Amino acid sequence: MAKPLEFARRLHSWLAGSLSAEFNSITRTSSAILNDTAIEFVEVFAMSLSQVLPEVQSLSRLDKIRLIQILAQDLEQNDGSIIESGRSYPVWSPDQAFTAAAALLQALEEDKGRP
Amino acid sequence: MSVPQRFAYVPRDPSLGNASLAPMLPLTLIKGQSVETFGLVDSGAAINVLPYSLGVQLGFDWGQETRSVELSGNLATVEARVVVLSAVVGSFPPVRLAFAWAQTDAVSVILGQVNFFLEFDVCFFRSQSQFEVRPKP
Repeated sequence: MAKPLEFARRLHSWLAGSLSAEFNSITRTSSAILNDTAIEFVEVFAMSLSQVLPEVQSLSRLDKIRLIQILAQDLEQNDGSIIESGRSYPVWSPDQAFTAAAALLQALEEDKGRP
Repeated sequence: MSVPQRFAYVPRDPSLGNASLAPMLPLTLIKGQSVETFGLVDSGAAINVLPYSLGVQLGFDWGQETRSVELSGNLATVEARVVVLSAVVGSFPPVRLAFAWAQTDAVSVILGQVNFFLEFDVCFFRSQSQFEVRPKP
């Protein structure tokens, strides 16, 4: 088993990237991984939250705080790249224009048979 | 049954990159004139919407179109008239589409439930930045 802080680092890495991206990373850094604990590293990929939770709960108080910081930072960065704070995002969909929809259907009905 | 045609998502705002990718369908609208354009395939839209200048290009006359409709959302304050025209998507046969012709150009062509989704079946593959369209069976 890796040391708690190392585990947190790997967990962060796992959460930060997609599976395929991480496997590409593994390929590129295979020697580095093998020098470490590659089997445990791969096991992290297959873990579900219920499997990860006991490991996380076994961390020291300090490492838990650091893990929270890492995850919060990670979430903030990912969200920020998609939806920017303070920016305007207009939604033009006439999403409840059902009366208008009925009018269009009526127009189509009236238009039937026209060239 | 027709074989679906696959289209790529298109970035609508280069500064936003992938965040602005949208299913913009290339299609030809035909009335008095024929105009090639892109329409936002919008399953959340109740209706099709046609921007003002495109309607004029197609040969519609605002004063002649008397059937008015009320829009909603960002378009709630914009006047709109009902128009019916032909549209060609890919190599599929032409279909009749009814649009709310909006008196603004601050909107894309929107392809909504009535009646684009009544004419075409659509599958979105957002993770692949692609979508498929085929005529109704």
